Amino acid sequence: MWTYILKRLLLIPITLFGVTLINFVVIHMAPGSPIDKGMGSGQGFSPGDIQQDTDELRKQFHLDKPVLFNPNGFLDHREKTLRLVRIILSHDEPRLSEVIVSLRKGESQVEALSQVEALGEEWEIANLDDTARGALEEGGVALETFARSTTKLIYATAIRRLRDLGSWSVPTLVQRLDSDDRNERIVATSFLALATKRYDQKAHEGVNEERLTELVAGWKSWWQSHQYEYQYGWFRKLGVFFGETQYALYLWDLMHLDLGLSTETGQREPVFDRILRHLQVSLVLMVISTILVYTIAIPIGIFSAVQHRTLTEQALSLFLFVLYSLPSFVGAIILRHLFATGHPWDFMPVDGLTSPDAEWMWMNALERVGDYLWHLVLPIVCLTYGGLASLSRYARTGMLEVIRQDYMRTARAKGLSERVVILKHGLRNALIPLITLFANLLPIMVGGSVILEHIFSIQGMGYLSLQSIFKNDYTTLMGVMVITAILVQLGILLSDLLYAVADPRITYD
Amino acid sequence: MSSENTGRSALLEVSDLKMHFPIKKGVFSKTVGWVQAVDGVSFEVGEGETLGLVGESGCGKTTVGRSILRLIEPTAGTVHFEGKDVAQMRGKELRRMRRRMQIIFQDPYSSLNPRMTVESIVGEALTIHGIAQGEERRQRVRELLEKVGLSKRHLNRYPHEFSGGQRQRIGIARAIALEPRFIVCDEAVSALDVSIQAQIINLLIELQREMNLSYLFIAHDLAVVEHISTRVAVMYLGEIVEMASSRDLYESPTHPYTRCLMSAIPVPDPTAKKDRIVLEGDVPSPINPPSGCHFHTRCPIAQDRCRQEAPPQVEVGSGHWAACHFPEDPIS
Amino acid sequence: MSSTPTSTPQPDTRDLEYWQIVWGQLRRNRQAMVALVFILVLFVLAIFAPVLAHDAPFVYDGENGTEFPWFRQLFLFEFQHDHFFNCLMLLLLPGLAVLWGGWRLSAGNADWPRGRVVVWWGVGFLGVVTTLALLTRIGPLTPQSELERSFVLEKGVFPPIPYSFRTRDADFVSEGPGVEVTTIDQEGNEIILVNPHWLGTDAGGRDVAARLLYGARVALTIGFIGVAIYVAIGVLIGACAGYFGGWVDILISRLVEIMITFPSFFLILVLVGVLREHEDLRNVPKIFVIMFVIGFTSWTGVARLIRGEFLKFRGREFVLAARALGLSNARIILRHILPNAIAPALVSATFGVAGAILTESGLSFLGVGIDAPAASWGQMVKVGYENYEWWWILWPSTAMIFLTVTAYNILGEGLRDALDPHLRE
Repeated sequence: MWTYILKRLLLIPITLFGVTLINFVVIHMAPGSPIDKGMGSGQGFSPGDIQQDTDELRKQFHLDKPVLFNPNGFLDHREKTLRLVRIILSHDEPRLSEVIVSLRKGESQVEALSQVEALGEEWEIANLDDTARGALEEGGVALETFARSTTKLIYATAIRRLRDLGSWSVPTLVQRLDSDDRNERIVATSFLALATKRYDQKAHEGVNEERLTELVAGWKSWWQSHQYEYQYGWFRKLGVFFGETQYALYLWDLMHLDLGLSTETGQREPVFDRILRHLQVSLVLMVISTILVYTIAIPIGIFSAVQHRTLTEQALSLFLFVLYSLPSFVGAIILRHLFATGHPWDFMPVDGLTSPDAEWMWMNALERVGDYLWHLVLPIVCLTYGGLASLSRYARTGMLEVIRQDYMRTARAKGLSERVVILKHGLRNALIPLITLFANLLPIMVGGSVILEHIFSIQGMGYLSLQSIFKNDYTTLMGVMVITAILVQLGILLSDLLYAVADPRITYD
Repeated sequence: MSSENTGRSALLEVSDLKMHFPIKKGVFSKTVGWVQAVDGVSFEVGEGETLGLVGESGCGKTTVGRSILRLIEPTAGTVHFEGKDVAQMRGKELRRMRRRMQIIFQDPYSSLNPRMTVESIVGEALTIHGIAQGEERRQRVRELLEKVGLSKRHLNRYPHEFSGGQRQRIGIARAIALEPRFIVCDEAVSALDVSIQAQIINLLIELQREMNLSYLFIAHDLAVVEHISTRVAVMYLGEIVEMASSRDLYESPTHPYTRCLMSAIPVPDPTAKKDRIVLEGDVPSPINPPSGCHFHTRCPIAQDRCRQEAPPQVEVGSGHWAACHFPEDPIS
Repeated sequence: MSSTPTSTPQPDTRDLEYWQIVWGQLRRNRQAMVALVFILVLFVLAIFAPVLAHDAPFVYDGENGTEFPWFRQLFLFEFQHDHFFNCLMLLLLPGLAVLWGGWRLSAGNADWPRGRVVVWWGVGFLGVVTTLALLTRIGPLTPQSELERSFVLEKGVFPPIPYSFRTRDADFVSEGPGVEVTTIDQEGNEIILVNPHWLGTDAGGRDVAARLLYGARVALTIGFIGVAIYVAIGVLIGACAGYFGGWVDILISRLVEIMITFPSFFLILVLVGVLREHEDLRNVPKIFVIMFVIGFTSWTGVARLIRGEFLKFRGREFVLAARALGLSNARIILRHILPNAIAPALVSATFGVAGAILTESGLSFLGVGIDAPAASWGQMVKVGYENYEWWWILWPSTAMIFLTVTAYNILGEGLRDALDPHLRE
């Protein structure tokens, strides 16, 4: 038994690993990065610090890393160079690459420059020039030559992307120090400084031939003593391949119970707190309705089985079947329509779980409890009846099966009263299959509650998830999925254990 | 362990076949023990010969039959068919082997696919192995049905329309469709009524003569095997305890286990003196078989030596082998 | 020695006898038959929706002489799944007639093998249909505005509901049935119009009755294709897990366990929510997105069922016999085990259709599913829910969802009972 529990508990992380992996892949199917989306709504940011803030955010949400695999360590020299060139160009635009290549070949600079500028206009990046300028100042005038040969924005993005590539670019940059092209040498020295976080603006200011030689020599000697730091063994490369990725970092945070921050602009609330807040609401609903489902369904099941084939039983069965087929959200709409919109009645509350603040403020504690319970009625009814209908049908079939068994006949033959026979001998055996359904109930409730919470404006997990879908708040969405998965896994475990407790035949050994 | 040499070339040669199933327990599914279903079985089957394999249920005889056809992969040991190692066969070679070695199952109810007509059941293999198709295949299936004593009218029927004996005939037709040289009859008659049993056994003998077949005839009843077998091997708890030609075994059983089994065969002579030896206790679990001689827990003549030392195969007569320390001792 | 059977000669049992028994069982279940009839009626309505509701007249005497705009417009401006249904509509009745005719013809004639007759009839019929279809493409395309005027002037023969699911009627926007509206006609006179829409219109002036009909097409498409996808996946995966066992089984079981950890509606919601924004899918109709998401997420139940059945069957002696005969694994799986193992999956699929319809309406209700002008019951419920005075939108659409889901549930239960050997006498 304990072995079984331990085994199941050990399997939970494995399942969670799969859950997060699938979620990550699913969520990253979404176009664009969540930051860009958040920016779209543009709250709380002055245009000037967008770039800086984005860089900061990218770091915070690990967006500077690849999603699942980080192949940087396994790139050979040629690929690294190619990647570097792409980074410098920052776009995989073939036309721009051509321009740059021709520029490097020493063809007419003026012509190439005009081409580049034309491209820049084509991409409508002129309006972002502020950002570019800011970044240019940050980057320093040493890069002026290069900046002029591309465009300012491209240069700015290049710096950002370069940071993404990080230390992987260093060996490639060192190779560039020997280049015949003066521009390339300048770029190499300043990018090296950026990549190793040793950038000193003054050192790169007003570079002349002499200073450049000095810088190149300095970097070369630096390389002599530091190259081992940048030549990774396969083990470390493998570590980077799987480790320095968004997914791995997310898992790492998850192990510290850190679900990250909500990307919803202006909120920046820890996802964990947010979920906890909404989970409380949902849990109350779920616990109450689960209890109701079982306490009502089992007597109904017993009644139907005992009164099998009577008129009352058949009427009840029909009613339960109608309930079973009535989708809970359709039921919720009908109830809401009948009781809360004035068609024909209007005495039930439907918005949220408490009365509006204006009334709430003046209530005393007792009234508040009453108000809360009154608001719970309709949602609970809707959340309950579906499970109730199916569970009571199971209870009925189980009971009917049990009643036909020989040991029931024996119990009756012993002279026990019908009541004792049914409740003591029958019930326990009929209940066992119901316990497994407990595991199914939880995911159904979580899934179903999305619509119900939407209809009754309840701020539970379903509401949160729907909101985060609409607002592209992917960290919250991830968090909701992970927490739900944990809850469901625990539910399954619990039902397995209950099963073992209820059925002495099951030992799990 | 060795076996007799009858002078005929061995069609099938099984040596030291072992089949152990792991028992897993604990958090990390550690293997805590092994079910030793088959524990070192060796025998040969010559061309045109029938080897009877007898033992109580659970002694591993079915496992032996199935490992020969590679329906299950044995843990250790080799099976040579026509001189080639069956375990090494892949792809084409394996398919070719399948044509030459077939099996007839015990339960005529579960051995036929309920959703297929007799024609497809018997003829499918013909199509697959590219032997006959379409009208030709139908003709072949008709001939096969007639050969096993069914009518060609049965061609389009489903298995559930037949009686147990008829189904077994369909199973036999399926097995001989590819004209094999060797057939494993896995308790082929055990599930049938006694009168039907005789019919089926006669059919098998007839087919053997006609097609020069060799059989490994598995049964849990010595009486059934007597009629059809050239030689008989007796199995107990995954090991062969005695092997001899059919006549030798029935006339002078050596191993106490064989003798116990023999005494259980009803004799159709009411005046015959019946000294029945009743085996005490149950077959021990194959998970941890008894030390020494596996049979010592139930053996009426067991001695201390039997509990400590596993008996080797001893040739007690010409071509008559037994694994017992005291093969000649009388059972009181 | 040869024992001839004593049983009486039986008729040709080549047909799948098992399913005949099941059908016989099902026929005795009155509720299930009612549900089946409802489902069939719904199918007929969905297939023949343009006959009942379309904004183009069948026959129209215009300036260019007699035209057949209905045929002409059948394959214009509609959604992809409509094309499928329209083809089905054109082919269904003649096709059935041809098949039946061929069948009858060959029944009494031993020289005519059935197969050949059916094939020849089919080929000839397809030729006729293709010609007809090409004919409908010829001729001028009368402008929609003119056709609409022709409706007012009663110049054409229109379907009973002379509106398509996307026709906007500017005179009646979100008006209930029987409402009288006062407007001013071209000559400036005030006239009173009675709402010609049987079930009223929605906020876009679209006919509710027509939308209900076309909504059935969406529901059935998603129900059947979505379920077909996941049954196919589930059968494949479950069969592999059950048949091969070992590592394959462990891996697949783990995957299934991971998948059931997501509440299914929740996962579908997230996926649809994410995918519908995706650039590559912007032009893909939402119905396909939903269909495939349902198909690719809901296979776990079927996979578990099929796995269990395969585990049961793979040790059966007829499977061992098939292996001993040297049949390939694929053949054993598909031809020997699957026919025996598929029944529970079919029951589950019947319930699954109800589930898929429900999922679609839930998604559309939340606003991540099918949007107007495409017609979906869930989307109509959303409209009715947001404007609760519009009872004529809310109630019919809720009723359709409820009835369809109920019908499939009843049919599923009937099928389960019919397949259950314990209940069989």
